[in-house]
Amino acid sequence: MKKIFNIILLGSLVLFNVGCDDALVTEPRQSVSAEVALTDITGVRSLIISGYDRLQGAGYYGQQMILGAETLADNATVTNAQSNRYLTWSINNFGTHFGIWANAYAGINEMNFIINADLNSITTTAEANQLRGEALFLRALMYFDLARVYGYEPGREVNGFQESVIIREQPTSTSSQADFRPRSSNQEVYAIIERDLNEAIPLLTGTNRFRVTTGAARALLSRVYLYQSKWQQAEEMATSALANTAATMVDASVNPAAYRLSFASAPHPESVFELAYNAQTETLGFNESLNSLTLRQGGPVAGSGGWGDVIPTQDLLSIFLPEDSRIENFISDVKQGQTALFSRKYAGTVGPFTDNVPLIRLSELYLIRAEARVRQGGAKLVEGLADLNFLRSRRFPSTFAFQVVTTNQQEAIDAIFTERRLELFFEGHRFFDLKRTGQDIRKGATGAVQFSDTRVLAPLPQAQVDLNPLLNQNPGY
Amino acid sequence: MRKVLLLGLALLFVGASAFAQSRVVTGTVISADDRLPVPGASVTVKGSTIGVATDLDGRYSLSVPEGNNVLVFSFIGLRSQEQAIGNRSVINVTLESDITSLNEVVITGYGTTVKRELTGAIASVKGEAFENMPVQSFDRALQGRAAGVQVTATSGAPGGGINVRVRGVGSINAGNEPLYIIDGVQVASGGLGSQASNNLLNSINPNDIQSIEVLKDAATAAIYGAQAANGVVIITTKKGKAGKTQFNLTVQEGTVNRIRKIPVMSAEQLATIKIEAFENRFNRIGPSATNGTSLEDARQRAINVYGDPATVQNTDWQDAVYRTGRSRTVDFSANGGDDKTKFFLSTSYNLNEGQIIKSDFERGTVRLNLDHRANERLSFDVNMSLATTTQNGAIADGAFINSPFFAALFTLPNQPIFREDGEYNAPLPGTFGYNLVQSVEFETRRLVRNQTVSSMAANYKISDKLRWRSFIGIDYAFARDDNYRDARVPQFAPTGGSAFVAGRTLLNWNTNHTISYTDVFNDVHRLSVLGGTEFRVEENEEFSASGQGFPNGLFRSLQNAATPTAVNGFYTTWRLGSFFMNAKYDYNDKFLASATARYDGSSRFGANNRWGLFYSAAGAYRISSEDFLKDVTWLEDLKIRASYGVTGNSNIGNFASRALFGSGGDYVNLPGIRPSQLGNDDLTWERAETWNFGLDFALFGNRVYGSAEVYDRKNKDLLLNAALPNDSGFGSITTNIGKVQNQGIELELNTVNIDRGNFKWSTAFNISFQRNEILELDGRENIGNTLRVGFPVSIYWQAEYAGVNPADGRAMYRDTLNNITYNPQGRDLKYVGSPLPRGFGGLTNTFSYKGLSLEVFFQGQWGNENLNNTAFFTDAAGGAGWNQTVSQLGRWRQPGDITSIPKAYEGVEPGVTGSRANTFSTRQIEDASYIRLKQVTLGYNLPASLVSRMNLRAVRFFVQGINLLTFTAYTGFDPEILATDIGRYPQSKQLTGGLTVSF
Repeated sequence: MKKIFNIILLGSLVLFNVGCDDALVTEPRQSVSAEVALTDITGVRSLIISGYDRLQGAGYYGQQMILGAETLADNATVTNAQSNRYLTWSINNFGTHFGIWANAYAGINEMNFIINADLNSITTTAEANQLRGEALFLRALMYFDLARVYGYEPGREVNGFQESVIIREQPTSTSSQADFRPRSSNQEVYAIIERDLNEAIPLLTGTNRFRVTTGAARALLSRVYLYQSKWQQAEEMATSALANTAATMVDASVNPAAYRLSFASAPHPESVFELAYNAQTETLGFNESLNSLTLRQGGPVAGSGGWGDVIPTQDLLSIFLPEDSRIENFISDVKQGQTALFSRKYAGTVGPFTDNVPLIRLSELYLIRAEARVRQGGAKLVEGLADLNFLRSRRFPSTFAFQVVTTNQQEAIDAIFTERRLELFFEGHRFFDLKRTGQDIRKGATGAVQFSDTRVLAPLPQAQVDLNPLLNQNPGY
Repeated sequence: MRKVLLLGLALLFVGASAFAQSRVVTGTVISADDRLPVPGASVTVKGSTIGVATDLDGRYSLSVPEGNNVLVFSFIGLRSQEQAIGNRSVINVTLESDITSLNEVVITGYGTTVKRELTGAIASVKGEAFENMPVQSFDRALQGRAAGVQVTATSGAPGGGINVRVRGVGSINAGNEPLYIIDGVQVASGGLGSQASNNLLNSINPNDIQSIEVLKDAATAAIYGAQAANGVVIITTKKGKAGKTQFNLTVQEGTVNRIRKIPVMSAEQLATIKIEAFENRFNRIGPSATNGTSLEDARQRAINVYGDPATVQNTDWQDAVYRTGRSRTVDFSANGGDDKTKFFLSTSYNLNEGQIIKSDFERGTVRLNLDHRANERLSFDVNMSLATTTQNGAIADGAFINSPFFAALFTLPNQPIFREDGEYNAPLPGTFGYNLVQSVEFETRRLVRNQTVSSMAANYKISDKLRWRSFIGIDYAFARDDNYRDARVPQFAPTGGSAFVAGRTLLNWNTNHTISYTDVFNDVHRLSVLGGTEFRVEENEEFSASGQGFPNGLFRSLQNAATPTAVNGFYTTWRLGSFFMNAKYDYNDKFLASATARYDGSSRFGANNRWGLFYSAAGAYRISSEDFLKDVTWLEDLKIRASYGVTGNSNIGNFASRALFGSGGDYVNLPGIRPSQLGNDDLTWERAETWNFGLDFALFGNRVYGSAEVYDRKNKDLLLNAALPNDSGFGSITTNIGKVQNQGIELELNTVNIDRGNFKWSTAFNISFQRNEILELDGRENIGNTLRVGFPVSIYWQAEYAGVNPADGRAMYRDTLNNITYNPQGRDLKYVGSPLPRGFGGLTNTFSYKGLSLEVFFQGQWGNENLNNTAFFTDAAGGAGWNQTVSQLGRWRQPGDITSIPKAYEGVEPGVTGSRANTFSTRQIEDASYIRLKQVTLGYNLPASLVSRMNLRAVRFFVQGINLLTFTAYTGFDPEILATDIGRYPQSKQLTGGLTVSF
């Protein structure tokens, strides 16, 4: 009896095992396996979207790369009573810093899939070029952000510390490809950024300024040159970008509100490249949006605002002349007994808690070219001041003596840096401008942060340093 | 089934003895427990084979041959009784319950056994232990009643989530929840729906439950193979009893209140400390735009926001959002049947209003359990349950500024609820801008769930020794979320009001087919073998839609929305196929052995490792059966046990082994895709290797009985997300690495302390000690700060708080060299505690005197620390723009003050980042040990004489209290939580009174 029983059991085990492997097959529905994802051009079109989506997050241009660069520097501080956001940034608390490592590298890996794919076999040459150009640009932008957050610019090293970030140019498809790598030098990283942008420039034919255009690639490259003190190349590339964009200058010389209102149109007329947000599906909402962080709910800007934590410093406000149209951007409000001026650059104009983020504006190109020219000295100094004064002519009433006139190179540079604060405040430039030129950060009551201070560089994620024996932490962390 | 068999056998005896009768004895057999007739009890003439079984009304009639003078009455679960006949012709017998009976039936995997034959560790809790307890789900009722089983509420919301941990935490990333099986149906646990903390197990009316068994060691659980590593909880609902149909009606009504109110400052106190904070800042850094021009100006700036202490009005925001909730239960059941068909039928209604405004739980259930014997060989059993639950939720647990139980602590007390014109005062100034009374009132958060857990089985008796059983069970739930955010709340105004609706479907079914064989050789060798196959499928599907822009707050449904904003869908599934086998051998009731094997295949695992083998072996030795102990009369039973086995844990993502591209966000209305994970074809089960040693004992005529267990469980091949360098584009890959050990000792002790006259006092006590340690990670000593080799799987790794510098009021911490620092760095952090308890237990004392009974149940745990994350914000030493705890008034004020609370300082003092509440340290780590008077029940049964005059069987009045007293040093709402305490819906105190009528 037992014998028969055992035979039946064993027999059914075998049958069951064979039949059951099929019964255990399941397929996910909202995901597809990696093998089939990129065999069709629609997959590649969707993958490039992920690259833009990476930029939108609150840890990236959606919030921290913008407000972090203001609060870590001397442009912005926090209100007395706040939601604990940016409090530690405003005092340069040890360890508080940008944290784009994982997100940027995830985006780089996605762009690597596109850059290394044979797009010509699945679509037209024009589309293949445009997609490849966008992927190259986005990869370059992410490497540029990684390089300026985690390392010094070439020529600006403190104690000769040249380590920048890890370079990966191939997609990771299997876990064995996720090998440990050391950081490359800042020269090497900047070199691939330049190479990618140079390759992208002729490939790009699109004109939508919410997507990457050839003008955007030229503009970013001019900024990349500027960060490396490659003045002549920066100047040339800025000129090239100015000639290749659909952006137009806003003139606030007659209507002082024009500067403020330009931030309420999408795209911003001066945007060479603008990060767009859909108000329903892409908004960062009450908790994380730029709108919520910079304007108070129930404040004077109707229908928008939230925490209202981040406000301009007295130091920033003190450099505005009363005639400057840009001062019109600020609005006075009383938050929990504290009277302060708030910025209206992110006034919820796309929708509730939603604003587009201009990443490169025409005025920045003029400022890049002005600086690049002035730094070259000689006759270029005059040309540089002309760029600066052209911008100022669009910001001050023509009746006002807005011209900067000097023959002193340092005075001209100082004027350009002041102008950058006046023009680009709350757009994520200030901290990096100080850093790329080796300047200390003046912080009022809490004292200055020296350029040689540990806190000028972001700490690498400690878990990554612990994991990867080849990865060195930044000095002092 | 046993009853029916006995009945049949007994009837045969009657026929055989018909010719020798000389006198007839009649009578009724009733049970002492419930005073109900016992059908199917056997009545035999001592020393003969003559006997009869009682009928459905417990009556018997037996012809007793001359010369025989003693009758033996017996029934399973009741203590046998002998009666001398004498001259009597009517003998009525009351059989006492054999409470400590070693013959108590215990449910095991795919079968039952009796307690004396157990070779493994099973905790068994009978339904009576929690009958009529006002809890929404049975898992909560397990708390403190089963050794080795730690039960913690993840939320105190009525009907909310529960965490059950059987013998500690063995997994880091895979689930730690046990497998739940309700009447053979392997059900999904956890929640379904987003609008309130909810629990799929609350569809079962706890009063329908006959018993809950927790399979704790490998010997008992290994038959569930890959799902068994976290233990198995088997729930068995009540069955019908043959006999006259019996009805039970219970009505219960009560109140729900908060356990604790956190002492926060009054408006006057807050204004006082804020003025000091503003003045201190002025004194530190002098006049400025934010500080004001003078000390008086700084003071005035504080008054502008927080009011003047001399005149300010106070609002108690905690009182504003708490209330006395009502609870109500109506429970009706009927059971009965005949020898062919038996049924248990029940219906219930439960309402439990939370102690927070607008949060409640409402449930209706219907159940029908049916057994039918078609013929001598074929029988069916069917269990059907239907439940509908409606929960109105408070916001999910967490640090939300619109969460009533979180934000009420922080809302500024100088702000009134209503303005003078009678409108809500909203938005409030500051971070906590929601007027909670308004936002809770105007927001709809509703979760409706309809669920059935039903099954059907056919049993076929191939021969007396060989039986076949086929089973199919289904667990189906549909949950609908409704959220409406009214534009009248200023924070919701920008959207013009918004609505969110989601529908979630859970379909989960399993079927198994078993064949079992039992035999006895030479009267001493008993063998039983079981083999079978099983298949389980679970599917989850969701859709959701949202819209915004509503005409006004009266239009709240999605079709009124001006703009549809999002549509979403989600689907996931997994499957499990299995083959299993179990053999038991028993030699003369002295030596017991068992072996189990299960071969499982899961769709979750990699193609190379889809199938796994799990097994166990166990033995037991009944020392008390040895001859040399025969004379030790006080020793009823003494048995030692040992088991070893390997079980699996497969609670990982359903597609964790696949390389996938998934959704990659949107950009300008275009949908993106991105690689979401790397594949791992080698991914396989976590293996739990468990040793268990046990001791069962019964002493002094079963007045003292219990068991002790010692176990050691090593969980290997942990499904750990092995870190990948982020620069590869991926953060981790799920692989099998890492090892965790759990060890423990458990003791269960039951005693009858006094049983004299009508007074009885009995005690049930259980206690568990456990320790947990990570033995191995992915080769590194630590992953992040909180996973560290040599420490428990859950720890706090923080700076040590060293109090306040008496000279200047700054907060001090210890650095690595034990020196004072004001700005602790990463290297200064260290192990400061673990939320895993070192031990826990429960103590029940039951007193009864005639119809009166009193049950007092304490439950507690110790050796665990909690991060009181709420205190991180409330204990801000006057420095933050929100209300704070009264304890902060003990702040440092002048040089020489000795206190642990820093100086009040508005904002952050230059150079002192640690001074305010932005540094986590031991300051927020608290001992969360507690002992809680979990339940007190006082009951009174009307005397039987009175009741029978009313034509009823029994009438019982009772009052009970839940969570009446708590002894703890913990300062947060509730120590009975898991780990980090931030914005948890606290548990409630309940008082109810009720009446049960049986007829």
